[in-house]
Amino acid sequence: MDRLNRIDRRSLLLAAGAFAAVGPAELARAQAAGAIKVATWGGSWRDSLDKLVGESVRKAGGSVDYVVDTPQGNLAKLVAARGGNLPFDTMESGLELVQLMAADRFVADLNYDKLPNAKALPDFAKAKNYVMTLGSMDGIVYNHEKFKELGLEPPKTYSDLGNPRLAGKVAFPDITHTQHWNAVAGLAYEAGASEADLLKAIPLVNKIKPAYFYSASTELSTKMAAGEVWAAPWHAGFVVRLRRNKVPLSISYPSFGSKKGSLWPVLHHIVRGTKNEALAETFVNAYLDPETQLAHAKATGVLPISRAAIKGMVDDPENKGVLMLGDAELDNLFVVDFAKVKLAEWRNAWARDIARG
Amino acid sequence: MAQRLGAGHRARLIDKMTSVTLDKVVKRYGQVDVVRGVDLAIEEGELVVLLGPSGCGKTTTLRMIAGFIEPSAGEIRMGAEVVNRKPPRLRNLGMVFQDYALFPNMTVSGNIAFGLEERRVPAAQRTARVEAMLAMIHMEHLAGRYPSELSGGQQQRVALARALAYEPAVLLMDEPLGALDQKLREEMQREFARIQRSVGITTIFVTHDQQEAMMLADRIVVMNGGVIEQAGTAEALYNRPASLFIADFIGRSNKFQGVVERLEGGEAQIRLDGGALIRTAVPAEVAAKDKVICVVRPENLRAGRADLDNAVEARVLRRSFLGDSVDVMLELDGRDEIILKAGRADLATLPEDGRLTLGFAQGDVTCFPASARTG
Amino acid sequence: MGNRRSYDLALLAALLVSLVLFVLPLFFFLRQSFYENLGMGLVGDTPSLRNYADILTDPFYLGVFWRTTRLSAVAALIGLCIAYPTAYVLARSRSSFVRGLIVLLLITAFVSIIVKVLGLTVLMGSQGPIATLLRSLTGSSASMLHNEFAVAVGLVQYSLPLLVMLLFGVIQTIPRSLEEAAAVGGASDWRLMRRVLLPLSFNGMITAGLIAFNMNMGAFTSAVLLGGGNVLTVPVLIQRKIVLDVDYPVAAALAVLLSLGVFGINVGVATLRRSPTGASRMRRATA
Repeated sequence: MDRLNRIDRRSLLLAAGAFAAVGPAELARAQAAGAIKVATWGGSWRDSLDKLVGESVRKAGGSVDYVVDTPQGNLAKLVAARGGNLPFDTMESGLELVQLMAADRFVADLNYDKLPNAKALPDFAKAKNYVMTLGSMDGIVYNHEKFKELGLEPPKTYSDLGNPRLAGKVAFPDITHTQHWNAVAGLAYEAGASEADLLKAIPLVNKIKPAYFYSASTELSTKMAAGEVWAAPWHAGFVVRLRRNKVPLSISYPSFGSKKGSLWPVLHHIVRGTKNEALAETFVNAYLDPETQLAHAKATGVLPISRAAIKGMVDDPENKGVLMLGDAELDNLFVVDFAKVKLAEWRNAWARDIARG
Repeated sequence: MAQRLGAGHRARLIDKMTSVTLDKVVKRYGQVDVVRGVDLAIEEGELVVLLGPSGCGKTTTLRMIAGFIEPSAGEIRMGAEVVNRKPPRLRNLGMVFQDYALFPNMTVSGNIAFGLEERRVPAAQRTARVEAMLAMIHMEHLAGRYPSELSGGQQQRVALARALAYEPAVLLMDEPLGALDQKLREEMQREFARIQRSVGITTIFVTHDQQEAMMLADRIVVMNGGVIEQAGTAEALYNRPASLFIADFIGRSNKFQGVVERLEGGEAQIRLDGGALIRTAVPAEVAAKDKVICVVRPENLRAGRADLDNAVEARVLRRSFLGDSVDVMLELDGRDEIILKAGRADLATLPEDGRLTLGFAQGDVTCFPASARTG
Repeated sequence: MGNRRSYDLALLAALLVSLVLFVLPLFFFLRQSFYENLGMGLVGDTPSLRNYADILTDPFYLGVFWRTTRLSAVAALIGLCIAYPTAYVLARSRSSFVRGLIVLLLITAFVSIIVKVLGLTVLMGSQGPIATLLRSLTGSSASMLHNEFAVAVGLVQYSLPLLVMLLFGVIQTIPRSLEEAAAVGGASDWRLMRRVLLPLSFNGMITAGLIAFNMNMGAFTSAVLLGGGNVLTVPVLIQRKIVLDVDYPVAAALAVLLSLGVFGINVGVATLRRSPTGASRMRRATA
């Protein structure tokens, strides 16, 4: 008994000593490098991002945390902070946040000297206050087994989701969701218009009469896996990710006029007024590293920006046949010209004119 | 036997009276028998009081008669009909509750009319009946009041009027006067006695107050431990208690412990623990050498009467003046504490303290085997 | 005395903290409702009632207000209808086990709304037990989610524990002997309920119903998750105004109108309460 006690006491003292020696040193290092927060999407995307990109921050002695929401939701947090206590230091966004890009109040101009990995990027990817990191390939994700059971052909157009035999089984991205824009643009094209006149898509959405407007991909993932939803405009990454869980999904890419399939660029900002600019730049630069891009893209089923990195995906068994990776195919992808989108008009119409319930 | 106080002469407001019979009624909760085989026949128009300490089963018995509880065994009959499983609303009972249970959302009239409305009595008849009831309880002027605007005694009267309004066959009363103060309580007892006699309804009244029971009852049924200990008129219970429990529970009793020394033709010589020797009759089951407890009522002890059948020496402890009488507390050989109740006339002859001879007649002593339960 | 004083000071500090944390931000938020939205969190500088006028003359907004009120009221009524018998059984039971169930109820009240909603999602989904049962009986079934019905179910589920507990307290104040008196008087269970129980618990039901209604009016999670984007209610609209349009002034005006509407409905419904016992009459007489 007595001996045991002594040993315990000794080991305790040793442990305390070790902590005294190491603890403050660790602490000091973390303080020197600081901690940043990154606003991004949740689920497997955040996990992969942390594993591949977050590591660079930790190597630099810092720590990284994530604020998970849609870009719209994260923008709201940024606006609500009113330049005070910033909710995060860098954020992922998309073209729908054109307002944000225009408002210098919220995002900082990027110093490309501090982002050496950006050199390899094409010029269109490097803007004043954002850099394009990746792109999702949007289309119609559907449960091919259920389609087979029903004797249905794979959907060729977004309008095909209006097939009465799919009633109650179709989900549609709500206006807060990233994949909303390519879906409604596609419907506008199918109605003979373009992103310049999205209102033409309203009757087609009403004809599809989706059972459910999803606002988070994690939510839709559950419903797709459960067989609750059989088809939805979404992006190829979820086909890749859910197939890992044996969910029988495929994707088809509708046409946008002469274009086929659509790309949704993922943008990255550094928030104006961040106290950890160096660490934020470390994070963004690591994000642009070709190796990292390729690994993250493979893991999540999206496209890296550099063609060289894309070549690395051609032979990936998971992504092959899901993503269109040929040069001609990539050149023929549709990208929304957001300058033409009448945003306020569309939001208004979406709230009022969509038949719900 | 029941003492019938001229039931035939009563001006009957109620003709549909019925008798109530309990036949080996048992109520069991889990492993516990709360009522353990009660046999009781209540005649038409009789006022029976169920009396006993709390937990004796009297309220459970009443609630079985009301139909709130179903007996575990045995039969309850109203007239010739077995009513064990008949719901309360079909039993044609009136009931007065301990907390009155007046409907707070109805006026006095509304409360009295409740049972009439539930029986679909035509409006004109109903109004007349409510007025008659209000007259009976002398509360015509308060017909529009709500229960919360009435005193306790008034609420009690309304509860009684409500219970009688629809001419039930049996009236049940569950400690209805328990919540009133002593003076009001006695007033209500007189009032209730008046009304019950004038209505002439078969009534079962539950109380734990023996004075109330003696004042009201045609017949008192004393319950203890789930069984009937003794049933009879107040006089019979007081003068001829069947057990030590009854002697203790009904009125006050002085108890002397002793041993039977000699037994001759039903008369025993008993040596009290204090040393005195008394003579009295004992029950047949008592044998020589048995320990017994002898009971004498306080008013049957006579101070200074060494000439009576029995006499013991006691020491005066204190006296209490009660107006019409005096209670004297005494100590018998440093053992039993006893009470002597003396009339005012005897007061002068009582010493302030010191020793005193207490005499009592043989017929005023009742003995029980010492092994008997005391309850 | 000294202790008492420091205790009061502590209370005062708590009050100040609450003011700073709660009232001040609310004030600044609501103040925006009187200014024009310039986008991205910026507002104009001349106060007007323009936002209110815009909302109150727009059939779209009025429709959303009507839907929210209707859903909340229906859910509160359904909740009352389910909670009353439940509370009755709990309040009247002599079994300590049954009465112990009230503790369980209390625990469920602390379960996060998200968890509750997820449970409903599984239960009501097209792969859930109800749909599976229907499918085996009728050969076909669809999901019951993503509509007003689903939202109503979610609202009822959320407010039910509170309703049961409130009504439990109400029913406990009605002596059991009143029920026995009514039964002896010849009343059937239905008549007992109509003539005694309901009149005596009426005020309690109004209060409980209003509390549930108010909770429903402000409920956001159920409408979003169970409505699946199909059920636009005022709280959802406010959230969209902030997140999507970054339009604080209109969001604030909607919040003000929602609060005023709820307040008005509460005042209106509360006048239905009445004294069934004449107690207030006596108070008036003695006053």
